[in-house]
Amino acid sequence: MLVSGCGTSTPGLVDRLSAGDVQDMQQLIPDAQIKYNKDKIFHVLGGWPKPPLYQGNPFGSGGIGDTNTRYMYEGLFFFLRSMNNVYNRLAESSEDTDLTTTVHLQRNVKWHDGEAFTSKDVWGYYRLNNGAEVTKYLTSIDTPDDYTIVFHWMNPAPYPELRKLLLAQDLQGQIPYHIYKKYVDKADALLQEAKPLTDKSKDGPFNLDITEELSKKIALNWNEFTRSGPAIPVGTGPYKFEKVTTTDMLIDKFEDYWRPDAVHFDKIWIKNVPELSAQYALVKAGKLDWYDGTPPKDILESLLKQNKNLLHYRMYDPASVGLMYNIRNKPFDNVKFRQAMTYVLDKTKLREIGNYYGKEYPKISMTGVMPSSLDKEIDASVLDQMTDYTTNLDKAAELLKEIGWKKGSDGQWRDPDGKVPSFIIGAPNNWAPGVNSAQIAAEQFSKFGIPTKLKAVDSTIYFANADKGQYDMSMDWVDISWGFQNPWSSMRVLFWQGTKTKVGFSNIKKKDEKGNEIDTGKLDLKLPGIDGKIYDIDKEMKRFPYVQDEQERRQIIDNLAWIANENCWGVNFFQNATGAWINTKMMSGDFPMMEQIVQYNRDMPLATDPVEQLAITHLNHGFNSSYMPEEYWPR
Amino acid sequence: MSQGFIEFWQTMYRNKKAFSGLIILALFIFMAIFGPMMKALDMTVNFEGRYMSPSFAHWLGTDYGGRDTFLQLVYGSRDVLSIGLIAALFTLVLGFVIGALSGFAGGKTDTVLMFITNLFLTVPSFPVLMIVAALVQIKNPVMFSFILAAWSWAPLARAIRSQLLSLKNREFIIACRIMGLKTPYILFREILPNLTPYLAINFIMAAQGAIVASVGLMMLGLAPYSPTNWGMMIQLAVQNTGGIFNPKGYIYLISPIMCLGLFQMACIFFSNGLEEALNPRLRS
Repeated sequence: MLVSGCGTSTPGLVDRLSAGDVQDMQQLIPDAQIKYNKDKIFHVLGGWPKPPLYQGNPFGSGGIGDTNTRYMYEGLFFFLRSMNNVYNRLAESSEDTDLTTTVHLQRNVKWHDGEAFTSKDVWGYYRLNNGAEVTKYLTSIDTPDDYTIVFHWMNPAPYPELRKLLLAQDLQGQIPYHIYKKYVDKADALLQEAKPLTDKSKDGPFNLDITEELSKKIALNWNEFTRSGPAIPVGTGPYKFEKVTTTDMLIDKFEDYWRPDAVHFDKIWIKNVPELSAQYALVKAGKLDWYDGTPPKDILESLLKQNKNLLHYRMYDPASVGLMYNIRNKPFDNVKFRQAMTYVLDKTKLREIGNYYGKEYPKISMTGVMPSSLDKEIDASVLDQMTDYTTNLDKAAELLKEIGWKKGSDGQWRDPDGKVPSFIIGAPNNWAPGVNSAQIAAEQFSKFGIPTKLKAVDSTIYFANADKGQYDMSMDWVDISWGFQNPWSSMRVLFWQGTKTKVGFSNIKKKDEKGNEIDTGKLDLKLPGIDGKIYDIDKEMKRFPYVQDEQERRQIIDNLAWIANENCWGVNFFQNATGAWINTKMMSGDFPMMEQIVQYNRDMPLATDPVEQLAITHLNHGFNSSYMPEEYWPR
Repeated sequence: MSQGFIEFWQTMYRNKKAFSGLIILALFIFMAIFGPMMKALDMTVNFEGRYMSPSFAHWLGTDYGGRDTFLQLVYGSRDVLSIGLIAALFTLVLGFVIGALSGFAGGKTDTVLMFITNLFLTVPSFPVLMIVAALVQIKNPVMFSFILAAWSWAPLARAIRSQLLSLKNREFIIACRIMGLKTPYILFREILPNLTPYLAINFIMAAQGAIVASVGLMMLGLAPYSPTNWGMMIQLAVQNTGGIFNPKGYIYLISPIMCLGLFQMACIFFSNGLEEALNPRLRS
């Protein structure tokens, strides 16, 4: 079985391409011509809560598995990660006015239980899930008929391109209202109790002032909804649930799917195999038709060598592996110390061990913008004015001396009090690129004379510890935009979300009625910008979505990226590269970069052509992207 | 040199397994003490030099970052042995004191101590260690060893208690009591020598267990990550070579496994011989 899976009995992909045997790659082949995947099953990996915990509510405890959600659910729109391209899915078309976006829905869409999909299902999603980000920019949602939905934006409204992205980032922007009516109507009634927001410094869904009491009621209703089932998922996607065990899930082609010609596999067989070596074994044996990720260089080359039918594509992740300095701890509160530490790091070596196929950007520290789009998003003159952090041990030593540090005869640096420091880098232990590169960073700091150790912490407690400032330095994704790729999206992570808490930016405090100091949760960061003026970062971030002039928006991002780089709150080690494996024995399709497969012997480099980049990104149909069933078929 | 000491060595020498175990352990201890003095370990990444085959320059080749595998093993042995031996010592002291006190004192003391012991035996260590990991900052090998010992003393304490219950009614202990000798004297001068073989074996086995457990604690984030710790080397080798999917990395993967295996085997062989040497009833 393994031998046949390894493809030794069949010609490999390069042999087939060299012989001109490409018919099945140019077009869908008739059932009678299917040679190997006669049952038309697509084999992939996934995860889900093990039965009896398994349930059918994607928002319930443990969900239904992220990848699996993509096969069973669809949203109004979908976007491709790393790119801003937004495509219609359940939306047939849409149009904008100054303060509205009207979406016309596909008319023949059905839920897996046979009920018709209507505008009420979209309305219900946002009324119930009123924590969804887009609701902060909306005043209301109308459903004039079953197939039309009107989003009313606040005045002023976000600029038009951003509106679509905000809607598209909810990959599952609908729920079956006929199942969750009770909870949706309750949430709607609670929202109707709220008064309109008058305090402009506050946010609220649908521009409503949600009091603490109301917030508790809304949360209670949400919690009841997450526990309400159903027993199995009910979506509108191309596949519907059939059965699940601890290790396997089977989902079947949905007979009433609204795009019947787009679905070429009859079933998807999802295996739950958490152990990495076991996953590689399945890839090597040809037991998976698609596999997400790019393993270390030598493993990748070994797998390709051992199974001639495997094809691997690489693509940029919209995220970088990086280290954040905890500015709550001395001496990391000193920008010169942070800069000195940054000059110590040799990013090439961090990238080689962390993710060989990633790409390092030695000049920057951390900018809040995905490095691969710096040239596109940031003005060249601003990039020129940014401090260059390329490895420079002399510069590091010079900066340390400036702040009173001295190097001892033992090669160890001592702080102004004469103490040799001992720093800890924290990293989540199940994140190989982060742990591996952080270990090298710790070694580089230690070799320079600043003793540093890595703590690879269980991920269930790591993030809480890092947010509380328990480590001197923390590893996580930085300059990241898992959602839509827009520099404001990645800036939100830096100033409002994960990076903010790990760096330890302070919040605005105010006194309550009893005189107690309370944390407002609002960023308190005022810093000089590129023009020397002082900027309130929170205000700049809040202003961005409403700036209609593109040039002005670019200036905001230029300024924020410059501020981030100069203040050196962290280090972008390298932008991550991920990939997708295809078992071309069992699955065929119009593969990207087809004419270069022989040249690269199936180990495809990062695409430079935007059309090919797009096609390769389509291959990533898990996580934050959508499944494109029409593009591949059984062979 | 006392007759007992000579007999001990003669017994160890006659037991070929025990003797080979002793030699291997001695070599490891020699490696841990003197190895790092001989050549400095440079952990600078040399990616082009990764997974090199064994040569005169690199006796066991290089790892995924082009660093010398043999030197990592040598430097790691200091970590591995010190953590293992200190943790074993803590285990032994905790296990003996609690077990002996419980068995000897009896009554309410026994009930309370055995209740605590049973708690440690039954509460799953993993979630507790997760909480400990969130609360405690391990900064040195002694503290690391203490935490390792915190979950390994309980079985020993129960076993010691059982031995005590049997010993305390023997004639020589009853005689001690009649003579009015104090409890600590009876425990440490009369009972402890009778338990020496058992404790010695447990010391070796506890050291072995602590070395394996230390990797788990590093992976939980309880202790700083030590890339030259043998267990961590295995973890890194599997993670970076995919276990068996990178033939170039076989020697790097196998080297720490062999070291750990050899150390464990030596411990088992040595402890078998130790039992024979210290327990006259087992001598042929």
